[in-house]
Amino acid sequence: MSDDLSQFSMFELFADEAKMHAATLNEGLLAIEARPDDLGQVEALMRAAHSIKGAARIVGLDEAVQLAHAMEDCFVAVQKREEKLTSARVDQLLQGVDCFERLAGMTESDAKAWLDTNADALQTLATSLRTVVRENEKVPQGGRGLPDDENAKRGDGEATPVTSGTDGEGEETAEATPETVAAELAERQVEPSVDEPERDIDPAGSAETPEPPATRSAVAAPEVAPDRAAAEDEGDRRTVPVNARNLNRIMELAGESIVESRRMESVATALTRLRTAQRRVTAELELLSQAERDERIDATDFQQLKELCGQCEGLASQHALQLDQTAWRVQELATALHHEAVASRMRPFAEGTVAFPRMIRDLARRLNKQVTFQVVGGDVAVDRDILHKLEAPLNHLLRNCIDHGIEMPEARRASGKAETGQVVLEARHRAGMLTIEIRDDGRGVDLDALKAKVVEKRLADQAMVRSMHAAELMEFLFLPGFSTSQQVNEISGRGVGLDVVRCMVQEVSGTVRVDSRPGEGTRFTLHLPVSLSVIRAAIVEIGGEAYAFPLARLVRVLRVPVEDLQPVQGRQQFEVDGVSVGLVSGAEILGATAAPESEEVVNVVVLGEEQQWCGLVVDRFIGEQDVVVRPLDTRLGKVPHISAAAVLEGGEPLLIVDVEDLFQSVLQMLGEGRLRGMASAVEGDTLSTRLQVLVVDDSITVREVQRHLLSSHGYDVQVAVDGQDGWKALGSSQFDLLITDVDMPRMTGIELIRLVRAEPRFAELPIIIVSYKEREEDRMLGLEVGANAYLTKGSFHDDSLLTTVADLIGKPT
Amino acid sequence: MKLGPPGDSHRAGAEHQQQSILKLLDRELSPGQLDENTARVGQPMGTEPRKVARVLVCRLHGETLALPATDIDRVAHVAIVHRIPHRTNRVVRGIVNMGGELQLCGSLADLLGMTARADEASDDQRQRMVVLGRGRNRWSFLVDEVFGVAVYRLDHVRRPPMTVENARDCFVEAVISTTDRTATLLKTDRILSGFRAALP
Repeated sequence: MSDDLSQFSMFELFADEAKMHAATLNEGLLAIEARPDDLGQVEALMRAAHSIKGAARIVGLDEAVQLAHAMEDCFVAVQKREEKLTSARVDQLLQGVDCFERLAGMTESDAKAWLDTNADALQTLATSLRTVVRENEKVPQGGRGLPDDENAKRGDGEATPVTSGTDGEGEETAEATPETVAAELAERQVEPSVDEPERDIDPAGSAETPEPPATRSAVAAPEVAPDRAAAEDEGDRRTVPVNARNLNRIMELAGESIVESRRMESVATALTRLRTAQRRVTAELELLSQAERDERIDATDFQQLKELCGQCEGLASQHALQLDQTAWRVQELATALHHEAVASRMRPFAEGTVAFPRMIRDLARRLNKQVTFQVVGGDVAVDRDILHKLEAPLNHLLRNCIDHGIEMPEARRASGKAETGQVVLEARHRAGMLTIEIRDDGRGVDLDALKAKVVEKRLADQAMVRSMHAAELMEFLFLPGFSTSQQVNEISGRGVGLDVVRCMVQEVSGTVRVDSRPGEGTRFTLHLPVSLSVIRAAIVEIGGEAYAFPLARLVRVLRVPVEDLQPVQGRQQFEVDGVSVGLVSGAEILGATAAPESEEVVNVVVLGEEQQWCGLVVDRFIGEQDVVVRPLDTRLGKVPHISAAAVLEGGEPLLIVDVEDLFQSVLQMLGEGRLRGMASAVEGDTLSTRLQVLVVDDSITVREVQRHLLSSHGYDVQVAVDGQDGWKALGSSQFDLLITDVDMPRMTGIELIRLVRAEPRFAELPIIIVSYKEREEDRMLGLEVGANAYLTKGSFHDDSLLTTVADLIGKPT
Repeated sequence: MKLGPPGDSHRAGAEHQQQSILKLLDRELSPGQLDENTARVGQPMGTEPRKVARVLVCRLHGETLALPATDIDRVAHVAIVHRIPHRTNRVVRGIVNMGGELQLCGSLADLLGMTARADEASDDQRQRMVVLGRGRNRWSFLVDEVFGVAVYRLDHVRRPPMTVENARDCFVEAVISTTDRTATLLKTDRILSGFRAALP
């Protein structure tokens, strides 16, 4: 960034302007290419090029000025009908547009350096654009040597020759050998989801699909706007687009809220007057009562009192009505304001599809296919975060459509289809969810090839595969590494695409499925929540505090009578839909103290996946409501089992449970023996009255010796391999005693004890240090930080440990 | 000078007054006066040390505490604190809703190692939440009472006792005197970093 403050702001202005006009040029050029005889757009394109030229001149980017000028000249020629825009010419113009977009994403110094490096290539391109190409003439070559988008954005600095595909005008097309393509791809640390979106299947098989005339340039990566990536790093400082009408409405409602709040002041004043009048009434009553005792009641006193009472009643009636109306208006305003604020997060779906037409166009040309692309439902409102996260999966799926779905023109003609394939991207709201469809009219999925691949990869045997229906078979496509493609090309066939798509969709709590008809086409359907910022959740109480469980993540919410519980290996469970659901204590997992509302009924939140369900016991159900998701303070790090926070209607904070994380923790803790299913519906994890001891030592020998010794004397022992592991164990189970070493990796015994003593619920937990360190200062330190006893391994006797343990927690009964 | 109603004679008088004022302002300076004035006006701003500072004075477990007023984000009524699993401990209490923002809440008393006195009467009506810090580095905590913002003289401060000053966990800047009380001035940075360090 330049230190010259005046240039700093001017270059940014240029960048903004260049981006804006580049988008116009992109869109306009694609439109003209589709309808070459419709020259209505050319004027707008000329203005866009002219504006970029002017802005580039102000910031002294001479090569950019020349290029923009040349583009302007080209548009003039087209407008005068001296030249007809061909695809080859559109390629060159788009190259020019790419240059401007690239410059707009750089710093000023980088932009100038880039222009210097590519001056010759830019000059050639400009010269070519200025040369009017008559009908049947060849478009002069230009732009060779300019780095393509992918190389530039990865910053590898090497210019890779860009060639445009043949369009019948005899241009040469560089063909890559498999070795060069593979070598080039191997050099890059590609992330398939971004750089190499790949389809898992080549439905028709390699023999039918001619090798595309690959260029040495890589597949175009989805363009993530640089300011968007940087904005995510900036957290709260990022700027986001908000609909102007929405913002105006928020301002209006905020202003109205202030007005109503001032009205509340007048109501408060009126109530104060009422209170004053009421006091006078009370005082008069006192006087009357005194007068009655003195037997000197006067009729005037009664009259005064009656009048006062009348005034009070009048005031009360009048202002009660006013208060009621004001309260109603305030509530309406607050609701409307909240609604508008939430709506400000929504963006039109079309905003997230801006780059797709160009990407599809370029890809189709590269593969010598003819494709039309349509976006339906561009106005559908989508949460801005969902829109951003969808960019990569949609890019994947669209590229797969072009590469594997749409056939070559000759093949389409032979099968009676139009030579030009159709790809449609549609968004709509349905049943409270956002549905996005990507569909093509290509060759569809070859189920036989799919079955063969499933068997080849030993995912299922022949008999099982034969019995599966299409929907079940399609699920294999989403497995990591699954591909039926016979060959790897630079675009697809590696089998690492659809699993990533599914992961990304699931990240936003969505689902994706595919269906297909051979010969007719394929359709991918994504179901997503309309907004990430508002979720529907079941609100429960655990340990006296509110927690929210997203409904989309739950299997069931039940109140189970205690008599329906049955033990299996001592652990309580009940049956739902033929599935045994074991109980675990929500309070225990979240480190709270259970406070069940009833001993007759157990409140259970059932969660899990497929046929593995567990029942999380909670204190009580509060209700179900929409909650606005708020991120937790970043200083907390990733809090286990918690994904975010919210606020209840009454203003109390609420934590939103990360159901997947919690379920995985339950599985892990069960496997490690740190959690056992509830033995009793009412109590927590109390399988028995045996005293629970946690032994923390990084030496397996020491751990096992202590475990064996204590177990043989009736204690229940769990072990941990170091301080950090021990801390986790303490958080998930209850112990009566902690025995710890001092020197351990990741977290020492001293650090562990400090953590323990800082925790209120462990304030009274007895702690014994067993260490090789025998110096007095080590002993003093151990006792200072909070250990109850310090034993040295050097003078370790079985009896001394047992004696100390018994002194602290008693002997097992 | 007496100003009379408009009129020729009075107009002449006003002109005379104006001339006199101009003469006063345009008079020659005495020797050295120009240099003296120049030196005074030419002094850089802010070189004179501030003599007073403002603090928020509050009470916690019977002790009067003070925090730099510029470090206070807000003072609010007591709100419900929700504990955070695997994070809440003696010092880190949880999250609290402060005017629509969910903020981290800590226990200043436990951070400072203060304990409630047995004879200390608790008055919930006076308790307040204080939010200390700026931006992303804010913490809220409960105090028993907020007295308000006070001013103290910078030349009227005492060092804390050596039992505190030399302690490993010293959070005290000085002992200060406001107009009506003596207070323990705390170090904001130390408190904020103390809360942060208490996070598991």
